[in-house]
Amino acid sequence: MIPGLPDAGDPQAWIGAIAWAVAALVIASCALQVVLYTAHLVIAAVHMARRGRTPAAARLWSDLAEVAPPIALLVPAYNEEATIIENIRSLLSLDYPTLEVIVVNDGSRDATLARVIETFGLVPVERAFEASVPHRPLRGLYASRDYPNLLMADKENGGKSDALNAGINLSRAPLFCAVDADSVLETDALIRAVGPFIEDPEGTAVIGGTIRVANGCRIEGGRVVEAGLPRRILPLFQTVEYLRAFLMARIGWSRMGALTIVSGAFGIFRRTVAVAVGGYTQGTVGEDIEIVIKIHRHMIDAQRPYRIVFSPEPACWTEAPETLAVLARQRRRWQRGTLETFARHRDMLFDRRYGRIGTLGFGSILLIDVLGPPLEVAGYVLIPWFWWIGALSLDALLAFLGLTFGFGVFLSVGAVLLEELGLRRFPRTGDLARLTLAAVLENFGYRQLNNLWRIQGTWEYLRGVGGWGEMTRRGIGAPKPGG
Amino acid sequence: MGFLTAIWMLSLVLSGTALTAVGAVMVLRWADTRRDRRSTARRGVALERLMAFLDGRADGAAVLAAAGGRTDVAADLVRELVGIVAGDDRERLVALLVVWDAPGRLLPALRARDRRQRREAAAALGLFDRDDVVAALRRALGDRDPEVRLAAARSLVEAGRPPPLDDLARAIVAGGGPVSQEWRGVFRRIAADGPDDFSALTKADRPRDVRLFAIDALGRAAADGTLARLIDLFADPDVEIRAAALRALAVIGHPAATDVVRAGFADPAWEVRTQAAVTAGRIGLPDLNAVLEHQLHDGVWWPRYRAGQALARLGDDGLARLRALRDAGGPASRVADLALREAGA
Repeated sequence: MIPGLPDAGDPQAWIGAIAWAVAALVIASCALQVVLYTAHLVIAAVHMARRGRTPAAARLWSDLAEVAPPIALLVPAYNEEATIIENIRSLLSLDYPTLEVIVVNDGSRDATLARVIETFGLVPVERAFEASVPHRPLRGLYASRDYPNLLMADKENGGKSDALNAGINLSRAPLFCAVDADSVLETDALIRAVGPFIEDPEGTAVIGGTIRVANGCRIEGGRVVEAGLPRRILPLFQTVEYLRAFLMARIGWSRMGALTIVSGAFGIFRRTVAVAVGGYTQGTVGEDIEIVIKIHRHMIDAQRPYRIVFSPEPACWTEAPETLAVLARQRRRWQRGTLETFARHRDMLFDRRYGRIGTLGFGSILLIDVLGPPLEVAGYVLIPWFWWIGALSLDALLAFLGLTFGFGVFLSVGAVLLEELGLRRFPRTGDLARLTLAAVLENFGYRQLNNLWRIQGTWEYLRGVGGWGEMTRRGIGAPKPGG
Repeated sequence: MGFLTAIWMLSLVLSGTALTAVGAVMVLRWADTRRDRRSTARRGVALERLMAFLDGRADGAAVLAAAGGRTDVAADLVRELVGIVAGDDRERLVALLVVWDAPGRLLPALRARDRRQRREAAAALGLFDRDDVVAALRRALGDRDPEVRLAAARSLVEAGRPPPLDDLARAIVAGGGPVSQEWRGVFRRIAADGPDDFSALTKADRPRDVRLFAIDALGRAAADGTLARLIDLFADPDVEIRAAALRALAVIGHPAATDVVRAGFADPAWEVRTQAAVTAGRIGLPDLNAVLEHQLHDGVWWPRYRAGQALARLGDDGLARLRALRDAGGPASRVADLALREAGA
């Protein structure tokens, strides 16, 4: 018998010992997460307090227009006929000095291509380009003299990464911005985002902007004319989640120099860097985290100084899922994407060569995305079970649950406060009250559901399930049924 | 206090703190909204009076009265308007700001501890062409914050009193760290106002960023000796400097650059070869058509492609060469074909 371990013939004692070991792991993991999240909140609060007043777009334009590098907006489109026209119009009207919109029709089965060609009067054209990164064959390129900064590429279906790679090859600007066809960029988003590329042109590799939930906003002509909160509870919870993810976590990671993801819906990349890493990886559902990790690896391996930063001011509005089924698919997909990238680059974990990315960045993915969901669910199961078998008093059970929810409320409300004190995008005082209520309520049920979906995503990943699944969208700015 | 009680207390403190903070922020928001509503109304009236002032139907006192007697509020409004008017109207608005002693309030802010205040003051002072303001802005070129230095330089240029180029060069690199491309705009504005001697800043002993900005400005200043200096710079060992010199020559568009552009095609760096092709096309140097044709066989895509584009711009001879290459097959054929199609030929 090994000292300190239960007797081999006593299964009850073994179960108890294992349960306590798992409980210790749960507590240690929770404690680490608490430290991390608190650090993010503090760093984000300091950053928002220091950065001062948001400069007016007109001022930015007068200061930056002359030196702002050209940007190619890459818009992968697959079966987007409901929204594509409005979105292209919105992108063409962005305030930026030199901009080209490259829409890549990824073999849509609907009338996406035909609608764009017809609406914008496009005709077949040729464009010379170097096949720097791989993608499925192009079937045609279309442009129009009336819209000289619009190019439509039609290609065989190959997925989002493949479409983005085609866009990278076709673009001639030094920077490209990957945007989702179903999202709306604010008109001044690019001029607000491009600053770091001007301030540190050689060092800046990637910039990410904020993604906001568009449900509940008033959208006219492809522009958000009035920010608002969703009426339905599910997108309202996601609004709080997005505030926490972008205004707290991304600012925190960015300031710590360990940002491992830039949202696929809105990120600006230096083209040469993206080409150097081979563009977007095909066959992954987490192409946004994957390319950022590849860039980190490439730049560190090449010993080149670089930075990947997050900027909270430029915003892109996106439609959040309104049903549990669609949301569950999205979250399972995100989890699979993260795990794919973690597994593919697992050698970076705690490798000192990769500095903060290897320790903080990958360490946090391990803690939050790989171990986090099962451990949190284990906590929900074990703690009541300990109480049931008498190993934990009711008082202790309630105290631990109280702390879990108290800290959850503290973080979510903290993110709402960051929004209010730093950006104040929601115009009504009542919005704050609703956001706060959602920040409290999401801890009771929604958060646990999320963990369940992430565990399902992990299971799908382990089983080798691929693909994006169907994302049912109403279309941003589309009239409500019957409206 | 027991362990469990401590946990309970912590939970309550966390939740209570968060909810109290939200409550406080909501009260603040409510108060702000009321204040904003009042100030928006006041601002509307002040703006109307300001328009009347520009039309000669009201005086400065009326504008100030509409702003509730707050010179800072009125001055903010005037500063917003100054950016969108010109000529006499602009002069009159600036004079109004002087009457309200806006420079007197902004000058001390240039020495504030808060760098945001210093930045805003440096940016706003560009409206006043006064010796004390210019002296203060020149001192601000030595500020520890790079954005304050940049704002001060912009303001000096806006006031029509650009600083000595050496001071500008020092301001750019002071404190080390990355250099913002926004300085390029300052150099260009100086170049547009007069042919200052940027040549001195292009010398090899100057910081690289300063040299690059100066070369870019040289292309726009078109001062005596610019061409010769740019041609000299092509011998620089730095790839970026050689490419920048070719870029500036393209802006000037003088055919005397032919030999340098020809040498550019033989440069070991593909960035320079690419720029040589662009420059040849932009200046319109038909003497280089044969070299451009040869460039279509470059091992790197960008010089190949730009050479094709340049040939397509260089008239019938260029187009004929492209057609011949297209029909001959081989690696250059595809680029020649695309260049012809892009040019609609």
